Amino acid sequence: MTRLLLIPLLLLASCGDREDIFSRSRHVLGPLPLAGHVAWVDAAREDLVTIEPVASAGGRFSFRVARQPIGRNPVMLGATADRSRALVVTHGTEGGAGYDEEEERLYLLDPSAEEAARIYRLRSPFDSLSLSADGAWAIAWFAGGDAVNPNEVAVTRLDQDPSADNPVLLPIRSYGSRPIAIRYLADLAIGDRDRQVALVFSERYVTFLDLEHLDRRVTTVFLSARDDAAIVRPYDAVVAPGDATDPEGAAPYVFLRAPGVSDVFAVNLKDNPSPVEDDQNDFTPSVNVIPVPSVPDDFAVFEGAGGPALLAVHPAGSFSAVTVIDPRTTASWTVTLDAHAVAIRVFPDVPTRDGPRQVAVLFDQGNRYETSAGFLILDGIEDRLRRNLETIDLGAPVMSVIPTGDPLRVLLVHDSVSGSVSILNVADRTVERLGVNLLTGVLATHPEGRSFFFASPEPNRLSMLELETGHAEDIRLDAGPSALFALPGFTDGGRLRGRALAVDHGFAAGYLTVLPLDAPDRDAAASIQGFLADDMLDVAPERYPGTEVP
Amino acid sequence: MTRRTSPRPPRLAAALAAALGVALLPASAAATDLRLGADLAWVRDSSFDAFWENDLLGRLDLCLSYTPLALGPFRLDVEVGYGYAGYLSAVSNFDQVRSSLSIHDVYAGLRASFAPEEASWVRPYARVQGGLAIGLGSFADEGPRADPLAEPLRSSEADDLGGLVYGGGGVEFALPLGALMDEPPELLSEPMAFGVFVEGGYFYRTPLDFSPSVSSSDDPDRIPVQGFSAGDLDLSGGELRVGFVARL
Repeated sequence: MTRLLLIPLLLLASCGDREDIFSRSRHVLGPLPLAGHVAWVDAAREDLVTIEPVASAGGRFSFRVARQPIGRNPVMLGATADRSRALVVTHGTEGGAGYDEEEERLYLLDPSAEEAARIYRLRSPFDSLSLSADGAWAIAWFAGGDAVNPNEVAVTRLDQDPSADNPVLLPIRSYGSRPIAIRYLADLAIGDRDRQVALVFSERYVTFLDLEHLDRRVTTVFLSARDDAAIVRPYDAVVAPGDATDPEGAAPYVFLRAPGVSDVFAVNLKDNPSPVEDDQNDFTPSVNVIPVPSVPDDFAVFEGAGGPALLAVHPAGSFSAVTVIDPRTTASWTVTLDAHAVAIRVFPDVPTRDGPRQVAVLFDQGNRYETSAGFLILDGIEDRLRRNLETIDLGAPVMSVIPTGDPLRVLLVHDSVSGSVSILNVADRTVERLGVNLLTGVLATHPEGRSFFFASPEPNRLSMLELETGHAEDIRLDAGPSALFALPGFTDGGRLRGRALAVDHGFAAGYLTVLPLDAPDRDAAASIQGFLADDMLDVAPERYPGTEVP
Repeated sequence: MTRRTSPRPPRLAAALAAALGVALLPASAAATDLRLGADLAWVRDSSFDAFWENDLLGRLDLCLSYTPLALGPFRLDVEVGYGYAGYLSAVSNFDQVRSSLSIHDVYAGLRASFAPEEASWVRPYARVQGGLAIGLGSFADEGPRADPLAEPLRSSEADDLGGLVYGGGGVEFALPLGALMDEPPELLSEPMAFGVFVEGGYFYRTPLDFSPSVSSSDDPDRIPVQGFSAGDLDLSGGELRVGFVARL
């Protein structure tokens, strides 16, 4: 009798394994703010999860949760420049253990899940994605780690459907190096036409990709410093547009700098309308190595007396100096500053007693012992030199500089000890200290620059500062914040959707609070909790044959 | 073409009369059973994996039955009962949610049994039951959070009401109390007995739809929290049931 009872019990016990999906480790990418959504990649369940705040007329928010399947092994989550679409890179699987082979993919997803996803075949396990500012291009590349060919990149045209020619896989010639960074030069006028150009930085080389003519040979430029021992690793690029009225056509300059190299590389791009060979590019670069007194920490372009000019800030003895360079003649002028500075911000249209002027503000960003900033009027700098300089005390060091909606005001985040912030008015050169503390909080800027929002724990609260009126207000939150997003919203048939101020509380299963963006009010706030566990009982186990994807 | 109507079969009329007669039998044919059972159901649906580490759903069952019909070795019992499963809890690693579940079943049913004359201590039977199941789910965020020192949020709670149908059969082994007593009490229409039963069957349960949310009833000033849709919990499955029976 006892055996009769035990047999079915043992049979039941042996057949009762839990499905593998429930043993998968939690792996989430995000949150990522989109135009009117907040997005996460639930990598364990291989889904994109989006939340859209839905404002009701005169009432509280509700939420629209969407969950869309993506490929195996999602590794990156990004957004198009206008934040209307989410981008996800998946590494797929080689197959086995119940999985079918799946290649690497780039997903372009509508966060509302109202349109089908576009799936681009990347065909290599790229680990980085660079997007153009206009959202039309995405270049996947190997930023690190092991790769069979680290010099391969995949150029995807996001405004076109996937096809055999989209994306295009290209080899980059780096002669022993690998790509370090990628920059876009959108609508760069060369000759009489605008080009879409991407720069691929690698050690000692920069490669120019004409994105609209990827069938042509890529143009690689060798970068050699005056000091032969210095290894040039291009780090940053700025562009001085060419003169469109020039009878020979516009010939822009691309300026490059590299850590440890006291030179600036000025690459002049000239039109070549009649290439000798069919696959040759129709523009030609020429490099000019321009010396700078010491290694530049930052540079910027402004409109000089004879055309676009370069301004570089660099160490000079006990303080810093700026050097103005005319790329056409390589003539330069150096102005010694009264303080340390490592960062330049150019304000092109600052009202002064003498009319509107270009002003460069020079900060020692990140130095907790420097509290001064230099104001340099750039018009006539070649003649007036230090007479155009004024140094003011900001009252506290500057950790970071954040633009506001007002082109003449920036937000200064001060030292990490106090976490205090202030508003710098570039026109009248005044600093207004704000009564908020960012040490443990998070910050967001109103999309139209009307106000700033700060959320901080203990006490859990959201502070709002209106830039126009200076009015500040605190709103109590029910849980500590981990991220704060000002979602500008998106138009759908003339209707604005998703516009809200969103506070992510950083809970594993998801906890988000939203408030009206333009007039935050606790009475109109609403929260949603547990959305990352949405449909957890309805997971299809056949979609996840193992605890890990091979 | 004319259509013939066949006369009503005399056997059906006799059966109806017999059934009516049986229903009106005096209570001398009645017996009352009390059963306490331990059930083990094999729930194959993956939704149950959110609440338990394997597919076995254990359950306690208390059933009271009454015999309105007894014809020789045959008995037909009506039953009412209550079942409970309430210790189920597991963490789903993929979303770091600890899910807890308790189930309350109330049901009514019929049980037909047969006791052979030569071995009245053994009684094979078949039963059907139907009723309601109340599922109570709790979903707690177990993962890391932005401020680990902050007071954790309360669990999200959910409940749903579903239907259940059970069909099964088994065998009951009962030892009449008379076997242990010199004179059984005359009050009893049937000798008092104690025994055990073992039974197999299948539970069909309608899925329980869980949409957990955090209650703000004890903190009306709290920002309203919208819950989530956890999905459907399907607890249908084959079942093995063993237990004790007391016949009064």
